[in-house]
Amino acid sequence: MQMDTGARSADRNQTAPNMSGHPRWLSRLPQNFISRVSGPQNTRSSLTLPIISAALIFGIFVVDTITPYEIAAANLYVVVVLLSVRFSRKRGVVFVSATCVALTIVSYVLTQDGNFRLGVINTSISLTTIAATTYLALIIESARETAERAQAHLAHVARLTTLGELAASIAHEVNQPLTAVITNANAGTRWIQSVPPNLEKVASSIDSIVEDANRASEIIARVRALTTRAEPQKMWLDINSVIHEVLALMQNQLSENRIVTRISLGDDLPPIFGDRIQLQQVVLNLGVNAIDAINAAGDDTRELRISSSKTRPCGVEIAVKDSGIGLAAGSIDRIFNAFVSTKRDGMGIGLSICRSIIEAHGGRIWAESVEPSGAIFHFTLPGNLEATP
Amino acid sequence: MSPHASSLTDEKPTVVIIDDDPSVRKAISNLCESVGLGVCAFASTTEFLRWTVPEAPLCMVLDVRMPGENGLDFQLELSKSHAEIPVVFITAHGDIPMSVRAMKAGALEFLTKPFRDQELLDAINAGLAKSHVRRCTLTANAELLTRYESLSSREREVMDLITKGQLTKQIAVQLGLSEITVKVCRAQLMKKMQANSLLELGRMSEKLDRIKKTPD
Repeated sequence: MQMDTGARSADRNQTAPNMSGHPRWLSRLPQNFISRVSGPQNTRSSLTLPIISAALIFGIFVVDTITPYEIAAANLYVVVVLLSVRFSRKRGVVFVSATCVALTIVSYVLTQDGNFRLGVINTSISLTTIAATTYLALIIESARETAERAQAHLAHVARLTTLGELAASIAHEVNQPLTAVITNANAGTRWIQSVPPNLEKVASSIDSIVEDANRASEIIARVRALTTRAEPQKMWLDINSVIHEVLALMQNQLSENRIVTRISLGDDLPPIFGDRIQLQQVVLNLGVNAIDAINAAGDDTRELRISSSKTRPCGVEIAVKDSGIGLAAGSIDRIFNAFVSTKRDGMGIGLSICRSIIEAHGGRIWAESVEPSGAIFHFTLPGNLEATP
Repeated sequence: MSPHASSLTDEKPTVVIIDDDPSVRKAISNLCESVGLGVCAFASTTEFLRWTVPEAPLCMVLDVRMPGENGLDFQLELSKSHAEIPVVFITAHGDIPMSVRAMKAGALEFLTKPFRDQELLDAINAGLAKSHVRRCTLTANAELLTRYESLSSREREVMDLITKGQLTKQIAVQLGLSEITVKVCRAQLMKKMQANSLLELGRMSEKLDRIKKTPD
């Protein structure tokens, strides 16, 4: 879980401008919402390193070209190749390396002075060095990818385990008073049926039943207090900005899974009175589900469409459509129930939380299958006339 | 050992309940009382071990998951010190390996909370009946042992030889006694052992061998 916190803080840094006024950002998201939306490569988005690298390439190229053959400045390209690991994936490293090789050869051709034979030897050495460095850089990159994948997987498993344990412990806690209620009720019946009926014992049995039932409901109240730690903070907000914030969070996830995102957000949408973080949770969960569905389908079409539009009289409707495996005919009615999951390792909590959030906002959430494959999730939120702050 | 015999019938059959959850404990006590059974409830196994076990048929209702000691481990411990107490397990979340383990160790029943009252009461009654039989056997055995111990060494020798099927004459020769002495001795030991026939004496001797092989 250590790495997970790190990834979260990276996300927080990147999205900080959008989240001003929400210091509790992400810490309030249920764990499974953000399981896949973490990526250490956020830090690479900075342009500083690519610019330095380009400047270095240019500098080395100039020096290599104007100095005689005896000076093997091209060896310095290894610095650029190693730098490229810091800001790009495998493809980028290969591209940078290829550029370096090409420039070395161009420099060799353009250089006028010096011993021609020494030039051939020096250039060969430079090319070999660049190739060897590229190979090492690629190994570093794949090791890092493996580590990242392992960490993400571990964090995911850890969350599931925690949730599973939590559920088992709640089940045990509630089962105890329920057992007592049932047993006391049975005992009460027997006291009535005894000849003569022992009414005093009947009364005490009923007292115990009330006591135990209260205890059960106290446990449930405690669990509820645990899961909804904070009161929703409602304010007027633009739903499109919510969608943009979530997309920013999901960017890495989407590109890593080679998913094409198509966004069509309506203009002049009415403001919505709602809890920004909760609504982000809904969009994020639908998005993550879409990615899972697309991966499960494994088709060539890998597309996620998010759209928002105005509804009459002044609400909004958001649709999240994916080209994934779609929904089984029988499951559409049940998927919003708690503990119903179509995913192999799903807890069946995400969509049920989505539904409670949307319903708490006075909206509606539903799902449809899409031909030939895929699913579309819609939700509506009432605008300023319908919702009373 | 002899006072066992008299107290066998006058003690009320008692259900021993060990569960750390007060409401479950209270509820099971209530249920048992409603069918006229005696109840002793404990919050932990250590509390039970401090209790003086009464001379009555007992059946234990034991929760599997308890802080401190696991019910299954306690069952093993109990089978060493109080083998005559049958155990009915109750658990909030029983899995198959758990129940197999309990049944193998001699549990009477393995019930998952919430259980049906009749199921629990049936198990408890079966347990009390079993406990009663075990106690009767124990008492009878103890009594038999006392009778055997009241024999003189000569009488024991004669008894052993008789039950091995030897005739009076052979015994007399073997022990260097007169036939009359052996006959008197035999009459004496049959009276002490309260055996009406040689056949009965034989059965008693067999039983004694079994008791000696398995102490307690």
